Amino acid sequence: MKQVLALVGLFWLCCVQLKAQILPADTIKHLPDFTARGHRFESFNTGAKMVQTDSLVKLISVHDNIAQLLSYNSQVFVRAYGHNQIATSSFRGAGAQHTAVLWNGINLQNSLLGQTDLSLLPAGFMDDIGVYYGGNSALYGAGAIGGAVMLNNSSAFNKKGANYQIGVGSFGMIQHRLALTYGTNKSYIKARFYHQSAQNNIEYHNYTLAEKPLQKLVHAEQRSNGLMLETGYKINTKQEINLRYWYGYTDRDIPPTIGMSVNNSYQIDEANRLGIEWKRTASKSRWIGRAAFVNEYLNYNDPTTYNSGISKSKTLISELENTTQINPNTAINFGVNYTGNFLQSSGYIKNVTRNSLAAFVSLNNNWSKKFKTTVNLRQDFVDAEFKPFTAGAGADYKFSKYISMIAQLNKSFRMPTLNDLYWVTGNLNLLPEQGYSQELGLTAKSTTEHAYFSIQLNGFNRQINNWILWQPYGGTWTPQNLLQVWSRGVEWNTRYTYCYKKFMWSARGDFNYILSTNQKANVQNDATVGKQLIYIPRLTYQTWLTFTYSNAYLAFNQTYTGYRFTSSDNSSFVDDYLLVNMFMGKSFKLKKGQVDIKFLINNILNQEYQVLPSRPMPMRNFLFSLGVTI
Amino acid sequence: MKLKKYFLLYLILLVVFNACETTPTITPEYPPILNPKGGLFILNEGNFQFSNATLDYYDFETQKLSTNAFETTNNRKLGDILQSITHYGDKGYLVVNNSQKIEVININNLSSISTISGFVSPRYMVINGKQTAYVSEYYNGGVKVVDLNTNQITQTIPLSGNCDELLVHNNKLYVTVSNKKMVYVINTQSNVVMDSIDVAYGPNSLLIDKNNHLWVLCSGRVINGGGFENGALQKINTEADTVLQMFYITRQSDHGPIKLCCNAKKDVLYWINKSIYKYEIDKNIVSSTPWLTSFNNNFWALNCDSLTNEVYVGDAIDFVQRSTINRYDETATLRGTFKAGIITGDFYFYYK
Repeated sequence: MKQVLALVGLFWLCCVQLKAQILPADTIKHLPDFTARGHRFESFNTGAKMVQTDSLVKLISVHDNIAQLLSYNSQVFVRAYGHNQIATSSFRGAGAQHTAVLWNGINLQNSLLGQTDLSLLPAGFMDDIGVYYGGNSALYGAGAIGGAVMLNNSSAFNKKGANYQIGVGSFGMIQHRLALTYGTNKSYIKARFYHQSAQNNIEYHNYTLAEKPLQKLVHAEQRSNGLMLETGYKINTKQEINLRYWYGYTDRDIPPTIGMSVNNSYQIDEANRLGIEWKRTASKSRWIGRAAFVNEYLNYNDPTTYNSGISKSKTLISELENTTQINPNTAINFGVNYTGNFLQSSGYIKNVTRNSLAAFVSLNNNWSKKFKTTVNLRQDFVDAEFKPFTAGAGADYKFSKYISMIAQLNKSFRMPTLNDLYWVTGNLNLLPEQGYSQELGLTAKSTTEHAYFSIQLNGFNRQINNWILWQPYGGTWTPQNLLQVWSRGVEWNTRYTYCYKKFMWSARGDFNYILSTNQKANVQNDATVGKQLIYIPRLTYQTWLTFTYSNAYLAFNQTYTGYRFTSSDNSSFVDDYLLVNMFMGKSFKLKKGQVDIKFLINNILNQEYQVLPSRPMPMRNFLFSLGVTI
Repeated sequence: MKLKKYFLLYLILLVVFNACETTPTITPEYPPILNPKGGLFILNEGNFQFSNATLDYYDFETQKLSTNAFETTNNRKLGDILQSITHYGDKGYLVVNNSQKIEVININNLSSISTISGFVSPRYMVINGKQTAYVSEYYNGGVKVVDLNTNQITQTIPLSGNCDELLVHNNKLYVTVSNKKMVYVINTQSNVVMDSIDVAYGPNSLLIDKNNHLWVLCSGRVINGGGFENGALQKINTEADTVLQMFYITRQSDHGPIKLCCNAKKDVLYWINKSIYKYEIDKNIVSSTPWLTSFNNNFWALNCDSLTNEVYVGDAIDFVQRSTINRYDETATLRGTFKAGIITGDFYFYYK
């Protein structure tokens, strides 16, 4: 903790000195980026805490995957199984299966496992990355009990350009990116390519050997390729169509954990995602039709134990929605969604199909200039059976120009995954998990000529019933609706931005304190009641300090992750860690186009840490990036 | 000054948040003091790939449990999945399965002597004579021969299947193969397979009774596509290596019958088949009534105290919390209870 406080001291000192240099001030140029994207997830989501990735972080994170980006730029806890290894997310003390990942409105949650491996999704393929806290199945769909990650691409009418970037980093990492855009006022085409290879031979102290020698991680190599093709066409003044194709391939060697001497297993993930979106916008009504086909292939192979498995999952999604402005103060959104999951896996008795239909409706009301509400309702029918009806209500009340309040109430649910149901020892009698959440947030903000300042304090409370857990229950290793999990916590966010001519500096602090406990004993001798769930930190926080001058920037980020218990009775834990990262970059304007250079130092304090037990993470490491845009 | 107030608030909140987060308190650990007369070693497998295997030591006289005794003594973690233990003279051998190694310790103070490596998936070790040990390999089949003077692997006896528990008797090494229906018999003079005994599916544990008969416990299995194959308890003549008696046992759980052990007189057998069953070898019927019934317990460790005949039972509960250990007398009356490490897999009674 001394380290933390020392750093805070430094932070404070920087601020004071800086202030002395730059006062007085002129006009305001930068404000946090909260532009509307027109999705119902945003416009019919009153009372939700929605955070968009700001433009500087987008610039910094261009070589990252979504897991890495979220780990230093969100209040989501990212469970990384190692550097560039599988990574899942935990929102507000929920599990990895409780996060919806929506790509242009298409849910990418894998139907087999119910979770998304965020390490497979390159951040640089997205134009817009949002993190929406809190469950809202009535709006995002089944599965979104904890929250949602929004990945969006934007159209490129009237844009032209070419961009190439190369990133060279520690542990043999090299990444190439190429983006080409050609757009007229009627149509556009955008193509992005990506290739990364890395040795990931990070160093760690092997604490199972005498003298705990420093060793290099072996068998951790990774290769990824990706392609994002987008095209759009304006049929007429009202109608527009966008087509997107996303291909991703990752081949990873799985390294031994600390204490194992070798591991020969590897994993190949391949995904083809095709999405088409049609929009018809009239003055008071907008129709959106979406259709998507997602084909995922996963091959896990361990030649030593002969444990291997290939699973192929296909998902077909189609959705039609309408938004109508009934009167100046009332808007309605309604629609239907069909999702079909088709699965083939070596661990299953037979091929599995699941057909889900859903009907949803949302209503926005502006009661006054100060008071806004939204109601969301959704009914899912899965394989012709009624599933829990979900509902949500949110409100936004402005007390004054400076102070406002948000609130949400939600009932959410998650279907058992196909793995839970149809694995050889699966359980066909599983019930859906149901989550009930309440949230209250207070925001104070002020904008002056040169400065923007905000404090947001959110408290939430959530109960998840019928939480599915795999356990040797009744003598068979099988999933059961065992736990009743109570999560509650506070989140505190602050922002301060100061601008003067070409100069801007900003400070940001995001704090979480979350308790997520099991409330129900499920077997004899069970000592888990009232205990924090495993792998969920109670305290996490992030601070940012950024300076930009003209086309140059310097940013510091520190991320603290508290203790995570590794046993359900909280008798053992992995240590907390504090990571400090530094980012700097500059753009040089050329006659035609520009050159960008970036230099990043991650984990400046050289902390040796693990997110999950015995899976080492990288100590101090570097990344250099060069980009050319014409 | 606004800015100053803001950072003051920032600092205050930081301190408040930090105050909420204290280092979790866990069971205190201290270097164990081993009773010279002997004691109980409790083997906690730990979770796969967590490297949280631990060795606990229980002193009968003081009734004190030293948790995580290997690490507190040697200042390093034991490794991943502590499968089994054996000893010869003053040396103890801890087979750490997924760390692919055997830790050699001084059994009187637990200090590390050396590490034997070169295995793929070691499960059990038996010692034959003064300087030879056999180690079964679960994956990559076979039995490795280790020279205990040099702690080097000198030979591999290739066998197909997942080799499991071992026993040396009458110059013969018996090797159970837990994914087959056989027990290999190896000549310990030549280290060559001389015979195999046909048993039920999944032999996993074995022992010699007071009459010098070999008892083999088989788990049975779930048949792909539906149905079960029963487990069995078999009595084997160790002269001719033929099955004398065979009792089929209906599987009560996904692991089936496992962890065969016996009392000090070697005339009463116990095993886990979800509940705990008992068989007196002079009777000819294996009762289907449990000796100790499981009420949603996940019994995972079982052994008899070779002095007191008390039966120690380990309940792994949800396999991610500390196990509950119960001591029973021969009439299944509870005599004591305490907590050990995560996934207690075996008890090793060591008396001098």
